[in-house]
Amino acid sequence: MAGVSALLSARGLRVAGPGGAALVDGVDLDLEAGEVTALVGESGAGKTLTGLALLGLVPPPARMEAGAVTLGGVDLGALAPRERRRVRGAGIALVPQDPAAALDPVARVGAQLAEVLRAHAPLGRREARIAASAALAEVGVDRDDHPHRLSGGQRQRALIAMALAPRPRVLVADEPTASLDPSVQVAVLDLIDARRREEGLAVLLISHDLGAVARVAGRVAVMYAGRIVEEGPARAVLSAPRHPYTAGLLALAPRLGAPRVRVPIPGAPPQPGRLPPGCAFAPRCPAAREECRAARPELRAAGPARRVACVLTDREAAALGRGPS
Amino acid sequence: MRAVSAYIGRRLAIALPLLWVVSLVSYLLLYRAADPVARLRAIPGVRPEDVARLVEQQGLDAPWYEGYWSWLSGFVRGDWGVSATNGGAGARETILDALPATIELMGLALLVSAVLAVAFGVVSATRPGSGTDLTLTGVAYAGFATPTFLAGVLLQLGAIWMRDHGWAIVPFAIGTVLLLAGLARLRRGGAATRAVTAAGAVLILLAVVLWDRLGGDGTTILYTGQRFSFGSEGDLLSLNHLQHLVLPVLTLSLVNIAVWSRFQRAVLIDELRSEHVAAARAHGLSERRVVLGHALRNALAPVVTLVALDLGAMFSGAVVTETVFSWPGMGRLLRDAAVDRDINVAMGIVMIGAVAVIVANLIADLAYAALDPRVPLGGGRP
Ligand code: SF4
Repeated sequence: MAGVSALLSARGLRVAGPGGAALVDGVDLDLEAGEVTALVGESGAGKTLTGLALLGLVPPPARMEAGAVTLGGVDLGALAPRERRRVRGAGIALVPQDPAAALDPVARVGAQLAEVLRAHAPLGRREARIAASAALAEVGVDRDDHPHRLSGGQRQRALIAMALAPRPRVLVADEPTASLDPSVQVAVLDLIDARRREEGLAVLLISHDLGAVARVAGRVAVMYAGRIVEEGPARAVLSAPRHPYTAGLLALAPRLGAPRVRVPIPGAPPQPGRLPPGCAFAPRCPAAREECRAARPELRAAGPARRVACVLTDREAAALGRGPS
Repeated sequence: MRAVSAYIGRRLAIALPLLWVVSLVSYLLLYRAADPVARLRAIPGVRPEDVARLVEQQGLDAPWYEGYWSWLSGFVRGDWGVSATNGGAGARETILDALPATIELMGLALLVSAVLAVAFGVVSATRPGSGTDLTLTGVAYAGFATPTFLAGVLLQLGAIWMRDHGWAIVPFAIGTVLLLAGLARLRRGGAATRAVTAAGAVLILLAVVLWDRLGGDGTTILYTGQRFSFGSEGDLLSLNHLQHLVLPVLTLSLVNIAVWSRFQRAVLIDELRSEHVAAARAHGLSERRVVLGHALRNALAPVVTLVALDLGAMFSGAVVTETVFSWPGMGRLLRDAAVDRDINVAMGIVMIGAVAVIVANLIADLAYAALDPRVPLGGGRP
């Protein structure tokens, strides 16, 4: 754990669904300035909800039941609604999941970006318009276009420009490359990465694309069934996973130069509210044993700046990484 | 811009055959209802040979299509025939005399209904399930279930009651609403709720105390019927004029407010759940901007279409309203013409109504395209 100096830190985030089932269960996250932290896992693991919880925007009927988020030492939960709203966009910005649906279909993109600028800075209409055109021109989008006239990549770039326009300190990017052509994906990631380098932006990159993660992330947190099961420096986690689930994800990922058979993880993630006792991954885990089903393994330190929630020892995990062959 | 005018031209060209069909069907219906020979025979004491002589003299035995043809050829030349009832005046003049009163009534009702329906829809949609939403829902269903003529008569009774008991009813009514609204959520409400409840109670007390002093002098506050003929009063903005307008406009608006506000609520609730609204919140826009600037702007286009499509139904509402309130407009004229078998006047009004509905539909489509850039005019690519 990075300690108290993190720019944004979340403690004990808990989001419950309509039936009271935990969709996000006790997640801790630390985002450092100038670092990309990737949040990976299968869909339904609670990655998006975790991102939205950081913004205080858990969509009903789900609700945030517990947890604290501090940004630069300020407890966001203690802010008045008005102040809390200001933090959205200017403090923590979001690049939403679906670029096709996240822009207002009836307004020109320039007007939408100008509106975001004016919500966070005392700008006049004209100034905001000019600034908005410039920000859009930078990403190759015409401010007078309506969203339906833009390509998928343009929409995503417009949304990123919109999120970055108020100069946030933290960016939550939810699957920013999922709907894009591979050729556009790199450009979109670079756009975010440039801000990280130049301005020390802290980024939470929600993704199931381990290729993208390997490209830009400094740290990786792996989520399974609403919890973080492994966390650590990207290089270390991706090259030597300590959790069997991480190893399973890596086996699925296509890798350059290593065209090998993709091995799917057997079974499906558990339904929220119907988690097995003990380790939630046990029913799908190739290394599961009696001990795993008895008690849930908590996150524990495992090497430099790494944590894992699994009973396996280093040696056992390493053997797993090499696979059965 | 060129594309828009070409589109309008195309639409109007399609409208011409439509208008012709409307005229033909209406004429047939009215002709059968207005068969003059049958009416002559029905008069007691008229001898059959007199009927035969009249039929001969006036060409009443001509087949319907001759009558229709002479009406149609006259109509397109601007000669709408003679009114059978209005002292032999031209049908067109008779109708045009009544037109302004109807435009005033319908125009005001349209404005009032649209504004209130959107406002109620927004209030309901932003707090679904709340006491306010449930109250508005109940009122809307009541408004929807009340036929226009009944609403008109009830409002007239209310106005008479007001004349007999005076202004005290106003604080009484407002006080009751506040009190009920306050009581409904007193338990979870804060200081504001308590203040509202207290204000309601005070207003009711005030009304009771003032009951005798304000009431019973027989001053008419809202007129229950037509006391002026349009244009003769001169000052359109006079208090007297407004006093005459309130009840008819309210009567005609009631159903529209009910239906449109429900529709606005439904569309807006959907819109508020959309991704782009969630994104607007994430960008840190104020809730006001999110709701009015993004969600409502998207949710307005379908409502505008519904409003325009309902304009024809609104005219039938105007027929009833004008009859109940003796409003000297086209609706009452149509009703009178139907009762008196005044076929030329009835045809003229039907044609004006048809043109108005066609134009309203055209405006609806133009408005939709203007409000939603994804919708191309006429179905082609934008
Ligand atoms: S705790 Fe056991 S079941 Fe869970 S991941 Fe580790 S080895 Fe597998």
